[in-house]
Amino acid sequence: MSANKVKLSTSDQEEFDVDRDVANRSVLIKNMLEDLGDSDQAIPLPNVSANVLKKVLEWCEHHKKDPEPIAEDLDDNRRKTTEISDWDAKFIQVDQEMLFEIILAANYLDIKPLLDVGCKTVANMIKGKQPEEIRKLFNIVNDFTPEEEAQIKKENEWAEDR
Amino acid sequence: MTFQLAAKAERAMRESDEDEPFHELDSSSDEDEAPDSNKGASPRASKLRSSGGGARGTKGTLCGILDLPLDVLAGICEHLDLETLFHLSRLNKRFFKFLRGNSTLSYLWEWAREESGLPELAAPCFSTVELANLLFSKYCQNCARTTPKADFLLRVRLCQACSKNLIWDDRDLDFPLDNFADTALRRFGPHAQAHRVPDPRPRLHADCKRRWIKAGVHNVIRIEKGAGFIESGKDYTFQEFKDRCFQVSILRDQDGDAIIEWQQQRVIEQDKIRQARRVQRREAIEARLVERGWQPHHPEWKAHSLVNMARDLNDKIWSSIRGKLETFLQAQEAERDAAHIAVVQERRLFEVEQEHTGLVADRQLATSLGLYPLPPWSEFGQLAVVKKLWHVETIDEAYEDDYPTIVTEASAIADELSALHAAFKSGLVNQFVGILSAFEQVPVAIQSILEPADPSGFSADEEDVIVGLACCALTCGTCSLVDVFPRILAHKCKQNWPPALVPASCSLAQYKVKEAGIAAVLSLLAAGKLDADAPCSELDALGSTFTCLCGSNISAEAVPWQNMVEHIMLYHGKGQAVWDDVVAESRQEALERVFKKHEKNLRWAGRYGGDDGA
Repeated sequence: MSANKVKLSTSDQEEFDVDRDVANRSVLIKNMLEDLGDSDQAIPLPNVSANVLKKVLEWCEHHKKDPEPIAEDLDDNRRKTTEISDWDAKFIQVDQEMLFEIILAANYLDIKPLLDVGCKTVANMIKGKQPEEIRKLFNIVNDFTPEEEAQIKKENEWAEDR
Repeated sequence: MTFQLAAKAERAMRESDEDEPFHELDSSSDEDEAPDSNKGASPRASKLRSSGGGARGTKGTLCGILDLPLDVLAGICEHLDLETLFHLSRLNKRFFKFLRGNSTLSYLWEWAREESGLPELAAPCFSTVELANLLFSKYCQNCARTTPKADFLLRVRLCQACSKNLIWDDRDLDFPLDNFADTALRRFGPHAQAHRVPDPRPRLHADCKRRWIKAGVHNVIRIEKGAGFIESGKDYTFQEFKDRCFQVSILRDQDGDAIIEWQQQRVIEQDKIRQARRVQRREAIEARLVERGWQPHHPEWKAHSLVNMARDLNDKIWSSIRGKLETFLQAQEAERDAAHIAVVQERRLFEVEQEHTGLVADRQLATSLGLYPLPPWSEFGQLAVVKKLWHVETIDEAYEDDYPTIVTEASAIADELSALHAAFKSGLVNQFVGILSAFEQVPVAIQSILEPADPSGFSADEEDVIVGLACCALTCGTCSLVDVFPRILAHKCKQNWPPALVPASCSLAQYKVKEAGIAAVLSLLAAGKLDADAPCSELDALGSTFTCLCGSNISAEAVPWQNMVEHIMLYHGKGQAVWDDVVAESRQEALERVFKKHEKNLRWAGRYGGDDGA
């Protein structure tokens, strides 16, 4: 195994040989590599399946030269912009199941920019929709009883004794 | 009925571990279990409402958002505007507890307010959630009926009936507010609302009577509940209360103005978006109509009702005309596509035919492409591969700029032609064998060739041997030319009218295998002292050496074997004993023979012509 290559093992036992700078987009993998040093052993990623890792690596490959975000600015940047670059928007055009898998993988692998793209995408899918539309979009059950729903509709804390 | 359920949910949420996955937040509660077919009959499940949206009670497989960790879900919510976040918080119990009951996520509401461009409220004691409810809820906060009315000064959304019951004129109060000259309450009431409601009567929040003021206390007013006016549980002198109320009224007034301004701005923005969408939609429709042949300035089009409706296109009109318009456009599109396909197909047919004509003239190119000999266009154009070159199936094919030609598809065409030639050869062998088998005196040398080694049929090599025999000659049905396969496919067929030389057909049906022709060739082989099973090449090698002594025109000169076969079939027919008349001789021998035959007449001509020896 070349020093510039890293071997990753997925939950379904598939192995990927990846460039180190691509793999380093994941803070989790980066930290593991720093702890392990040079090793031929594959890094196990038990929470990520092969097809999802393939997509994640595709994103990492495209963004491998992006500058590392400064930690203190990260939250502010994430909050300020809801826009997604054209490439990312095209990349994230996947079915809902894969979208959530990518988000979970990005969260697990600690790839904040990718996680942010996923979150923005889901947020954009929800934005401007009424509750019933959101329920249909994500197949969410309204489990309020009629009484509870009436209370929520009232939201009448203004008239309550506190 | 109090809001105990929500309060309970809040308390439960505060007590819960915030790092728990979202779906585990309320795992102890059976109510949060996704309903399935078995649970549908349980008493608890029956508490769920059965109406109000297709998602209710039909939890699907793609509810991935419920499986996301809390921090990820919070990350999604960070990008939402206040209205969406408010709706999200009312989706189900889990979202309600997550967004309303988690104090560490209160920043989400502030961020959402900023994302929405809403002003920060100056007046105290009104949370962003309450603001969201005031702005985006559709329901009366007292009876839960749908109502569009919200009072930004009193910060309450009430329907008309509840408004009458709960918002009272201070003159209706049962304590003597009038005793306080120019009281803050009186001032507070009408001041902010006078310019918003048609009724300028001073109004007060009902709770003022019930909780904020204890009647009968002079000079000191005990405020039991804060509710935004003053700090809770603190004693105020009347003057302090008055000042406080005055300040709060001003702040609420400012907030109300800011919110109204925000709403107006929002209306303008939404109107712009709606207008842009309308323009975009109209342009898209116009583009599609123009694409289908609509001439916008044509009087007939101008007068068309659908077009006129589309000019002022709002959502209502759009929904009413969309179906008709789509049907109309589809019909137009199909008609237009069919016409375009026909035009393109005609053009491509002409181009391919021209290319074929060019290849017929350029034998060298046709040979290099493996297409020689080319059949006539009537046959060539119907080859499957060639048909694809000019036949247009779909509109997409019609709009393709790059389409194949004979040259680009030469290889596939050559393969198809080879298959045709192979079929031609097999058919020819069958006919030849059939005729010879019925022949009375088949030469012994040929008999052995007519028996295939494999009883199931002739092999390709055996077929090649048979068609290579000189006696396996066939006649062109159009121009009567005699030759052998495959050479006969390369001849130029002379048509009587219009006078032209066209490529020979590659269909066996256009040729004839005649018994007389076979007999004629056999006689020529005998005259040339060749074996009956001699290949065509040996007969060709004799050249123009055949002469018939029958006295017809052809007897005057030595001709190739093909011409002689034609002559025999034309002048001697089948079964006549002409073989003795046919000789194989050189051209010089033929001239000498003919001269000798007519020597007598020539001498006579010279004697009486006065020109000896001429």
